[in-house]
Amino acid sequence: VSSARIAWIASYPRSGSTWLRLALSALDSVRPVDINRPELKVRVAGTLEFDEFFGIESSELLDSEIDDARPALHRAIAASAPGKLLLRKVHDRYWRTSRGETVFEAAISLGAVYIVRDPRDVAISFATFRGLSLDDAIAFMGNADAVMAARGSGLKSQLQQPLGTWSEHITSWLDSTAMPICLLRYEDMLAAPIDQLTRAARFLGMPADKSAHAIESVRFDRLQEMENVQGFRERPRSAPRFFARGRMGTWKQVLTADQRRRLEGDHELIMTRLGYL
Amino acid sequence: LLSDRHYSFFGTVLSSPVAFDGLREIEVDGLVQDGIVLRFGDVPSALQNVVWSSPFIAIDQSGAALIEIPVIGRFLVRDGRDILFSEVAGATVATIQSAIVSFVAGAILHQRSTLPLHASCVELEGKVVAIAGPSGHGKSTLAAALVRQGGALITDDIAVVRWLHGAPHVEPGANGLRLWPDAADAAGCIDENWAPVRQGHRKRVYLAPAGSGDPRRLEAILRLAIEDDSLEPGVRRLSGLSAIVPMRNLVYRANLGTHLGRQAALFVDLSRLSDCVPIFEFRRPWALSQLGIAVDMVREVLSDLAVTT
Repeated sequence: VSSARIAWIASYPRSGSTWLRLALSALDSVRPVDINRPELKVRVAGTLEFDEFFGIESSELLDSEIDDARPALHRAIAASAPGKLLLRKVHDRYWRTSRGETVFEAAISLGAVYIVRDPRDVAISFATFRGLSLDDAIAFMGNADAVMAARGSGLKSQLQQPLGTWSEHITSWLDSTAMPICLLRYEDMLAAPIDQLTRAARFLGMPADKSAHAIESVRFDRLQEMENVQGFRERPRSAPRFFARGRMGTWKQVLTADQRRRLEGDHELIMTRLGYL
Repeated sequence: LLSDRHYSFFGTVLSSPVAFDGLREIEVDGLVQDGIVLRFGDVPSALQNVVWSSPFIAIDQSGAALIEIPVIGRFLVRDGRDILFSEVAGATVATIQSAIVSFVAGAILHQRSTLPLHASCVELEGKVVAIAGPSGHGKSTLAAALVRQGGALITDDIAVVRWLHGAPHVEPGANGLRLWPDAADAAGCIDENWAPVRQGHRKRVYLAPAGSGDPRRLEAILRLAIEDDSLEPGVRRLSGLSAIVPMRNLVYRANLGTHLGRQAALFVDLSRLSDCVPIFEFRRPWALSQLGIAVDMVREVLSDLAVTT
């Protein structure tokens, strides 16, 4: 084998990918989970990595130059770990560069675990996380030009990741035929976490016999307690806490009828397809 | 060429047929010894015998580097002395200059076997401090805040170390601070003149008053920690290996140095440096609004040095 195979842990932001990442890390780890040192097997596309692999300052490059180099970055990452399985967390939608190259190439990909969450709960979590009003969060989820970690007025540690609308994000991955996809629903992960983790692990070819132990070690109250005591390095300053509530159906108490209607109107097709309507 | 202009460039002289306003122009009598010469001409689109490449840079067996930025042009950088450049129509002088003090400098300074720290250096109350760390850790931001407090900028982003009389000195670099708008605002650079680092780029160059132009004795190195909610702000003296690893966080484009065969030499140079200069882990408060606290922390480090030395 000449290069690694990458498994993409893909999702719209605030859909549970960090939790799954910690659970997967716990699967083959003998040490207890530490949210800040989870033997970071699952990495995010970052500027430091870009600079390191390419020998150049990404902060001096234009957004378009960085975007166009993303496929080559993934090839370099894969080539750096011959024969290994690499888990990579991405919030990008499935996309192509301006040159028409696909960013997530089948040749270096094992597949993608794609996580979805009810967009009505995503909106609430996203608003808290980014310090937005609910209305702005809902508008963001309906914006086809939405980008995660865009370098607006300052440098970001993550590379910018085009999202598209919440619906487009989902169809871009689920309807791409480029690679095998394992679809996980956040709500199923809450209801039957061991089963869902086992599914993901089997899909990735990882040992699944410790799923129960892994789920126990990433229980939400434990993660929250850890964040209370030591903070969480991935928490943005806009968010009071990273591990917020993690519950499902919060929207029933929080969203106004108008906000709910807007989300359901914007994303009706996909919500129906995924069983949320 | 007689018509060339000459500029101070990280401890050597860059001779150029075009005028750069972000570099310090110097007078040269007669021939320049061991300088760098920039020429415009045809640059091949690819190198032979490539030993390493990325979408932007290729290095061949001889150590020559071909750097290509599609909207700027191609630079062929050889022997630590020659820069051959073929421009793309429309690239401005400011954009070319910007590429030379970043992308090209990364290759040429390693070809010249220097020790280029990834650091911004400021002289404050007679003491020169290097603020080191990878991109995005806030080097230029903290340097800008120190300059606003009366410090003099020695160099931004790249600090070439030179040994004089057995002591490490920092060579002056370009006389601009490269800042993103949020950092410039936080450092209080709101009303000053600036230009984009490149056409179409949001990062800016703020010209800072030029210092004396001489290498300056280095008194302390602060290694900026990455933003991390789980760490309290503070300063900690580092010793032994922990002071100089990972090397990539301390050396400008250490990976290029490695591909140019400099890895072992860089390690030796860093070890020597850490024997002479105190190196600190510097965890600043993460919010840009608390930059003033970071400035006070730097002052405290410098005044503690005065007590112990």
